[in-house]
Amino acid sequence: MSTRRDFMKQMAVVSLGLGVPAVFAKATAAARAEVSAGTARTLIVVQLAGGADGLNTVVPYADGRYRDLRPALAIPEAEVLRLDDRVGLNPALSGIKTLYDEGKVAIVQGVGYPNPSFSHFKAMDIWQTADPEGKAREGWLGSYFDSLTDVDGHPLTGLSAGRSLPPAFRAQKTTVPSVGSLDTFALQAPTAVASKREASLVQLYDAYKPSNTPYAALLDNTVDAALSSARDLNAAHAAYKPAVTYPESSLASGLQLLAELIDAGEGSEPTPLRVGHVTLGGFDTHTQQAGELTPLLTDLSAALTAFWRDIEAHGHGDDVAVMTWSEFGRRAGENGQAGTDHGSATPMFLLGNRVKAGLHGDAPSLSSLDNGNLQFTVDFRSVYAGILESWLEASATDVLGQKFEPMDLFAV
Amino acid sequence: MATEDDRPNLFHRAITRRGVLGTAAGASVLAAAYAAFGRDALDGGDDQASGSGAATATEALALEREEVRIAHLLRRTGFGVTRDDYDRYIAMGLDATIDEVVNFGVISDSEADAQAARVAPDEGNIGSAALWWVVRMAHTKRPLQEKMTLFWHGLLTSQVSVVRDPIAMADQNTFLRQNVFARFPDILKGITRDRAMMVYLDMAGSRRGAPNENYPRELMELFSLGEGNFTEQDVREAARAFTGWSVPRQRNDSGRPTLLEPVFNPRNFDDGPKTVLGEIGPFDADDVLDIITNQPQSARYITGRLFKFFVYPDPSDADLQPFVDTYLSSGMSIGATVEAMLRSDVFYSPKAYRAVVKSPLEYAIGAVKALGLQSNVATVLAARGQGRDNAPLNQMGQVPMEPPNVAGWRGGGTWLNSSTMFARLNFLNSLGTPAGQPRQAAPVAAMPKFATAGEAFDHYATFLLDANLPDAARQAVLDYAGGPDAALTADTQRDLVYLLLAMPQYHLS
Repeated sequence: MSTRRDFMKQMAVVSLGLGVPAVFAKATAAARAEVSAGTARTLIVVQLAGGADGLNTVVPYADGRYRDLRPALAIPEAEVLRLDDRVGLNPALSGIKTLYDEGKVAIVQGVGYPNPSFSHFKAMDIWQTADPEGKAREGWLGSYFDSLTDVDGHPLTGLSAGRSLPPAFRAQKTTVPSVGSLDTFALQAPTAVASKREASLVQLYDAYKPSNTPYAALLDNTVDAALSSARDLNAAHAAYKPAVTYPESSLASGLQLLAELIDAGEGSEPTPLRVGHVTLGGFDTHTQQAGELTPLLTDLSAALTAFWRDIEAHGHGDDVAVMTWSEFGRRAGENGQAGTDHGSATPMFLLGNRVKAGLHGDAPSLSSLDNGNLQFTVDFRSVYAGILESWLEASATDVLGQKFEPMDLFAV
Repeated sequence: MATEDDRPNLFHRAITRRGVLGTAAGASVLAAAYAAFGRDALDGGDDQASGSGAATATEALALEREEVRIAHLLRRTGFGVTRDDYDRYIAMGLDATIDEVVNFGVISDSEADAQAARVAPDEGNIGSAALWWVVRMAHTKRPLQEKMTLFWHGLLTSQVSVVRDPIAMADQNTFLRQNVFARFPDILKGITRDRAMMVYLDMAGSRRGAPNENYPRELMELFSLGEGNFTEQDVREAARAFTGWSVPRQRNDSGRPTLLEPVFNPRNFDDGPKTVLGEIGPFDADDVLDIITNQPQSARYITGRLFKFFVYPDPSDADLQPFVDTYLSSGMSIGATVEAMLRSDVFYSPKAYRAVVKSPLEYAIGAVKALGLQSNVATVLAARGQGRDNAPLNQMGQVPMEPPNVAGWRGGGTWLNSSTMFARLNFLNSLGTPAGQPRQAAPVAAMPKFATAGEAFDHYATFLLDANLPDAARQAVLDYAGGPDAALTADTQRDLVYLLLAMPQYHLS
């Protein structure tokens, strides 16, 4: 059983939704009415950062070309966890395989977009903003948050647990707090002067008005969001009892914090967690891939499994869905250093009691490559559209700015 | 903790997993402010300028005072000043200050050398290179050289969690320090030969027939040209020119590999003709670097990066052009370019005032120097038994030698979110807390004693904040203390200093 201290030792970058900063208080009542009319569901987004190798994750084990392209790196057929007579999972994903057999996992194969970028940063921006032209500045989830609110502000439905806010959460009207580590997520001061100092600080930040400098508003909003969310988060954490033992990893710790907030939000004053985001890094496997990818997938599988069992035990299995994404997959053929270079199409995983389990999309062709790269069969924005429309019950066209045929990924 | 802290980062997995050091990415702002000031407030500014934004009227009027221009210059070219430093520069005047700042080579840095030597990097402690550098930053009499070293480290990045050899990282740092103002092509050639860089971006072991693309890609995309200014084919072809190098390793007493000097083996080098950026030839690494730096885009790219670091985040092409011209006419001299910026009108213009968010290193070391705590810098910045993840610089989002990924630190608004805000304010709190408190270790500095709150306020507000604060801010701080003439207890003086350093304006450079 993770103690609070153990849990706090490692924080992944996790994003969550929570709390209402004072500055938005007046709009809360109106906004809350809007929110409660919509979904009470939660989406957890797991970013696999660095370009996760799809071919060794969802393995086309029966295709001879797979072994021709990867003489050293190909997963042996006997080790693959078969999903059907053509594809299977990397053996490190045993927990995911169990959930798949329970009908809780959907895998979308061959996800990408036209004219893919091979730059980590450009590709991440594209996935985060849903704009391959690279012009949009808002994140796709940020746009979603904004669509939930009225002009004056709104309750926070996203939170970044970690010292960074994913660009997917960038929004025009929302200030989303970030939590690096819960035990230091509070204003520290000698007890005798703590509340007096806090009051003065709030005054000082309020006194620095936006018309003077570009950063004044950001500073003021950040302090307000921090102070109000600290109270809510610490209360949620104190009240929670995990039903499982989470593995010792940053990813697992982050998911646990998300689970706590999902539970805290149910039927209580703060609006429920709407979207959480966590990042697992290390997937840029240019050399010695096997040694790097296996532990990452092991971590992913164990952490997601623990999270899911905890969610189910707390009765939220029907209201939570998890989505994984990576900015690109890797080159079809291995390179000379037992690794792979930047590639394109990649699989996405969806986990939840209400997903339409099984394989979606088509496995990318290994015979018709584009300059060594896989060609995508599903546009990622169709996946987003499916999630926005069916799961979050939002207008995908409004959020994405364009109509994409939503993929049918949920049984709701 | 017995073992070193291996933080997973975005692109290379370390062996053990501990907390993640993420960049503080952009948080949103209210719609009105966003619309008025454009993207730079949101994400620290990329290449597209989206609006003039920036400090207008009231606040930037302060630039009419020479002492504010001096303070602005000192902020941008260093890591904070003591009151004594400030007074000395004010007495010298702006021109003499610029001269001293820019001509750092003639200034002895023996104090920083001596202090750094006491915490020399040690192969058994992966965090030791970062500590060694922070101690230099706190003691240097050549702030601009140190600031430029940070600039280069954030651009030509490497991560100790990947390289796993703190001595190699320290040597890379020393190379950067010794060449901060050199010609850009020479800096690129030098860093390309650096053993930590070769390991970081997989140049080590890249060979004919199977060239590794990681280094040429990030070199072009992040170090020298920018996305969109080269093709995939350029990356694949350039990769062939970077073949032939290896970095031998030797296991040291700590069980970790020591990286030895790089070795070139012509048999592993692809000496065939390559086509890179339109040029054809049997190029080697240096040839490709010359081709890159001869691209007009390269001049714009590096000038733009320098401008955004020193002046403001969203320069227009017109803003950059004079400095591009200086860069080219000086033979691609970084020193000439930076000096031109520091002597320019635009540097002292309203748009540049408080236009940059202080990085955690500037914020933390500035506070340390403000309170005269330099000799304790290692202690105040250490984890203090709470675990490496809770070390102040980690929580603020910037550990030297460990940028979050190969793109370095995004900076700007990305430094500020709820978590990093608590980290900054809590760090300030820790500086003023008596040693007896649990979980706080910094001794209170021997601060000058003031008789009244008003005196203390004016002392600190002058050299830390240009004496440029709204009346309501002065009022709030003095009210806290019980009024401008209230006698100060040690605790109240401590709180007053905290509030001044905690001021929103103090986050800005």
